[in-house]
Amino acid sequence: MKRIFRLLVLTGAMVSVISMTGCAYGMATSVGKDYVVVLRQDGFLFGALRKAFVCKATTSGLTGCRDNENP
Amino acid sequence: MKSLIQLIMLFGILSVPTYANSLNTENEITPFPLRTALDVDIDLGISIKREDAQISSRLRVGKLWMLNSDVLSLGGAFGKFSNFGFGGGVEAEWIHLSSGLWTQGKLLTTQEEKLVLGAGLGWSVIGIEGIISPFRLKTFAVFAKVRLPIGLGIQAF
Repeated sequence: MKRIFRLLVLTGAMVSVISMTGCAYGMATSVGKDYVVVLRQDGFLFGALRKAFVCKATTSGLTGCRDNENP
Repeated sequence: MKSLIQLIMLFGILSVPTYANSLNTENEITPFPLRTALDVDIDLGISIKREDAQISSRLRVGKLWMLNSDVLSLGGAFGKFSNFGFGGGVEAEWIHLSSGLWTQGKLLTTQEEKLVLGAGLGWSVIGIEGIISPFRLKTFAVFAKVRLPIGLGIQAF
């Protein structure tokens, strides 16, 4: 039983570390002059929720990210 | 053992506002769209205590909010909770989609106990959960479980 609780505490620690430092997006590549495609990873449902967002790149960062759209 | 359960629950309670605070700062506006959807989640578990291998199952129906790689779910939970019997209550969950890690907490009332607290941790469709009566700390259950996230699964299509 002690091992189970150690496992719980360890998993909790992992969750907190990932929540503070984990990167939500795995890949970004530019498409055309003004657009960037950002890929969201999915470790939860074995890739079923992986999604590509098309964002407009501006000098202040990415804006108006949308999915299911062609750049 | 009681203190460990209390420590885990305290950790869970404290981590939620800490994480929520890290999501949004005043000067940061996320460019990614916020999605909301119906949340339906089923899980099946079996008690880890060898002398008490009871089945646990619950259905959660509510709403989920998906932003970037984070999913927050809130809903009503109903089912059989191991040796606590049948019951219902509210449950909240946070899922980090990219890593697949999730954590959840619940507040229940059951046939055996008026108030039951629960906390669970896991990765993908497997996890571990502990439930305890705050008034009778000797009454608790720990079970391993598998889950079927129907509401999130629909989002894949």
